[in-house]
Amino acid sequence: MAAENTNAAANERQLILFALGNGSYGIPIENVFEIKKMEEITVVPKAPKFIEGVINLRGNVVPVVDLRRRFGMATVDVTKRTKIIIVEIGKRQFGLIVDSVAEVVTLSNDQIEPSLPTVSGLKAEFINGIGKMNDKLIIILEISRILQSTEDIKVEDNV
Amino acid sequence: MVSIDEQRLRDAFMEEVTELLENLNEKLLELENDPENKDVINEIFRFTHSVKSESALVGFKNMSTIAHKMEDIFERVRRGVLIVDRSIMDALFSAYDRIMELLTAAQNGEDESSFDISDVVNPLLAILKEQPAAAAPAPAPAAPASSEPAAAPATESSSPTDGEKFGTQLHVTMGEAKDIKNANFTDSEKEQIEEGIGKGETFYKIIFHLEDSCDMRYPRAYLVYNNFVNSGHVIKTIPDVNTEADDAQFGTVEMYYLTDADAKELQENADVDQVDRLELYTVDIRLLNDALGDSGATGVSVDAAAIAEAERKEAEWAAQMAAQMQAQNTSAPTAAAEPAAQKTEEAKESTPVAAAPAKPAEGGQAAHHPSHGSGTAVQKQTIRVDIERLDTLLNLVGELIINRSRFAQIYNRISDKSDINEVKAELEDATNELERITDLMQTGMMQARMVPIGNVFSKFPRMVRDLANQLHKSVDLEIIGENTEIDRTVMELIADPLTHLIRNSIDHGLELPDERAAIGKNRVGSVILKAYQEGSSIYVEVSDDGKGMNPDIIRDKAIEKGICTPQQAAGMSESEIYNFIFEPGFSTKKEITSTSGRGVGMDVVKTQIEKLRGRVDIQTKVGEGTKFIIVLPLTLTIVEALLVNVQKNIFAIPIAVVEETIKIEREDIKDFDDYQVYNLRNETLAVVYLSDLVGLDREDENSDLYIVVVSFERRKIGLVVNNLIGEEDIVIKALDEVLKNNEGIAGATVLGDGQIALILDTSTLVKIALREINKMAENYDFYDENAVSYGLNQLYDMYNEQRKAEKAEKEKAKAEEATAAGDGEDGGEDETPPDDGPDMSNMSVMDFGNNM
Repeated sequence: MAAENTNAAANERQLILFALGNGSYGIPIENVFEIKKMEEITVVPKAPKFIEGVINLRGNVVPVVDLRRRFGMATVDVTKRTKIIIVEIGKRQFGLIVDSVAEVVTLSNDQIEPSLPTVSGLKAEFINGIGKMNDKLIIILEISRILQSTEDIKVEDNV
Repeated sequence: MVSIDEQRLRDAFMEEVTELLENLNEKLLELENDPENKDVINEIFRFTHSVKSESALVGFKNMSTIAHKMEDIFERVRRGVLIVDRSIMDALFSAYDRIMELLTAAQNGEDESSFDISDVVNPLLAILKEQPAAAAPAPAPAAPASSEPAAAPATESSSPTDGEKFGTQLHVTMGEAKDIKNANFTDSEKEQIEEGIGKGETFYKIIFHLEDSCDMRYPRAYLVYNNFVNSGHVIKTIPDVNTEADDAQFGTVEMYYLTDADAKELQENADVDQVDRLELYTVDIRLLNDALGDSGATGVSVDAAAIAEAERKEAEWAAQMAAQMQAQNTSAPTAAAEPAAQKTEEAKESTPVAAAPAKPAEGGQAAHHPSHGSGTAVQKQTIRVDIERLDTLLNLVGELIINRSRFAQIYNRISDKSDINEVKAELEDATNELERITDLMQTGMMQARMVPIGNVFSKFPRMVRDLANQLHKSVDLEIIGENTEIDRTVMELIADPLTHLIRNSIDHGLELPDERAAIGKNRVGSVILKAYQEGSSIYVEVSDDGKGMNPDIIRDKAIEKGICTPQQAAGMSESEIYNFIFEPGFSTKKEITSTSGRGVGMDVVKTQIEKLRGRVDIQTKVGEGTKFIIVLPLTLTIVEALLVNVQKNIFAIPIAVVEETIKIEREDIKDFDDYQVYNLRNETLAVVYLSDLVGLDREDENSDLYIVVVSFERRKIGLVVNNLIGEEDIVIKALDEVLKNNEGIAGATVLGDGQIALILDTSTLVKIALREINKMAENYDFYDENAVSYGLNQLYDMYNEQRKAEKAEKEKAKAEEATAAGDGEDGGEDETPPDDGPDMSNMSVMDFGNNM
């Protein structure tokens, strides 16, 4: 379901781009529910390490993942640009803390390659594909995996 | 269009047939225990007939075929040419099961006719072959000379389901009364009649006759009278059943009767053994007017006409059904042969015409499918809500809308810069009203979700029957309190644990009949399933009168399985030992059976019930039986909680487990190695920093602290928190799966100001705390020669004793030294006295971790 395109043109994909360290990442727009400013997060004791806590999203309690921590990157201070992207898979909602949200881009399927196990240092199962835009590489995340695997995902900070 | 109608019809069918099947199941079970009970046989016959007809009506051929064969069997059973035995019952139950499966399949949108049913139909056919039917069922002979010739042409009941009965055949005559002179109504009776007719009820003259040879005529007559009382208003009987009690008087009873029930129901009322004749006469308006004086009673003859019309429609319908059945019988029972499908197609089209008018004529009470009893075996996504409850909610919504406009007014007044105090008062008032409305709405919504627990219970008689047969045990299952209402979610989740407990009772609890007889027990074991509400909890008990549980065997087993050490076990109370049966991997049964004893299950029971925020208690006595008591909260979504602070985090503790709260100073908590205790009214209370338990840093700045004393399974523990915020009703929100495994956190809630508070799972927290304490007990070298383990308080006392002894020894040594050195006592000042811990001398030993 995540991979399906809401766009009538099946050979295009709309992505929300965000930054994490020096990397550029994308999430299919159909999985993005909302983008929020960074806010107070309620800590949940004994939660998996990459879970920052929970926030109140209009009466629902949703977990928030620190993507930097999830990908084993060094944590940074919260800035004005820090955002929480609320993603939705089926009925499940959760937030992803990212350094900043850039823009919405449309990539044609020609611009997207299936990921290779070694590329970018992220395990293939977390990558839905690699998008190429001009000279930039965009790692399209397979967000359905983000909450599933308990092991930390390692990423080299300089993709 | 057609498909929508068809779908609607099918939906209605599902609803009705599910109930029918539930009743059928019940009656089949009854029959097995009492194979010659004519009432039961008749009811089963009716149910099978209804299932057959109804399923044919909506085109469920397979279901109808099976039900038809079952009906055929019962047609013979009620005529007495066939007596059910175990093998027939088994065949019937398999057939019943298949209908249920087909129904479930149909509900899931599958084509029920695509399933093979030959394996259940063939055994039924074999039974029928053994006992060939003696021609067609004989139509009920016409009523013999009735005491009163009918004025209008009498309608003889045509359906074989009516009245006829093995043993006594009830002959029914219907018509119009010729006279009601006998009645001699009093004024008050006349008034009653007028009033009833005014309400649209029909006035009947009813005559029933008891078999000449029958004994105990008065009680039988009274039984009939009583049946009628339940479906209408008896004006008078001649002779009067309330004053006469002489059997001789009650050969023929004349009764004047007001009712809105249909003729069929009236016949059922008279369907009492040894009642052989029933005459139902509607009373013509002129007769009635004569009897009542001049007061007008209109509508009486109209009603009579309506009844005649209804009867005619019914006969039509029955004929149509018969045609359909014939069509079906000619086709192969399993394959979806073309011609049959076509016929069914036709039948479907004719359905709305035939069925629709008949129903209103019967006053909405469809006689073919009496809808008493409750329960669904097929999981329904909808629930039936009492219309009154919905109306209440609707009213509240109305009030809420009015309330909303009040707030709008208040806003305007603030904008108008009205007198602030007035506005304030207004706002306070409106807010209070809002609070009242929302409270009531909350209660109302909760009630709307409540369903009778009987919905779950109804599946157990059958399960018990099968299980008893399989295990060669005799079991009598008694169900009490099936009308107790529980939340729908609870209902869905309670079925599995209950199933397991009942299985457990039969498999492990009850002895074999011979064993029971040998020890002087009734050969038939008893299992009682009981539900009741007490306060805001629902209790569900499963008890048996079997062998009970032996704590010694369980203890040994627990030790053998490595669930606990002999030292731990020795210090445990019996109730703690019984709780071992809920430990994963614990099973006392030697062989593994298909029903229980797989070593999984009991632990699942406990987990499942704890998930519902409930608990299971065990009461057992060797040789006398075991009782499992499940205690569940009324609702799962809202809980009254105490909100507490741990630094800036807010936690909610369900109020049900909170014993008390105490304001303390930090230094009141005494350290005992890594553990803390508090002197609570001269009892040692183990306390744990909540921050430690949930894995937060302990904050040491404030000296003021609070202890929240929580209890769990009669054990108490104090949770140290920074601050108390207050009590609040909170709505429980489930946490995402990724957070599900967090021990000690049951969920979250959003507070009024939007903040999130985590809800503590205190039972788990207390268990974690106790586990730690037990670990310490093991590490401590405090076991005496009997290897008894201790609870924290004993440990603490011993710790103190030891320290005292050490101190005394040291002092003694010092004194000796001093004496030896001849140097008095001044050297003692330099020596730091060993840490005593708090003075425990005045503390009594509280049963902590070692109670009972």
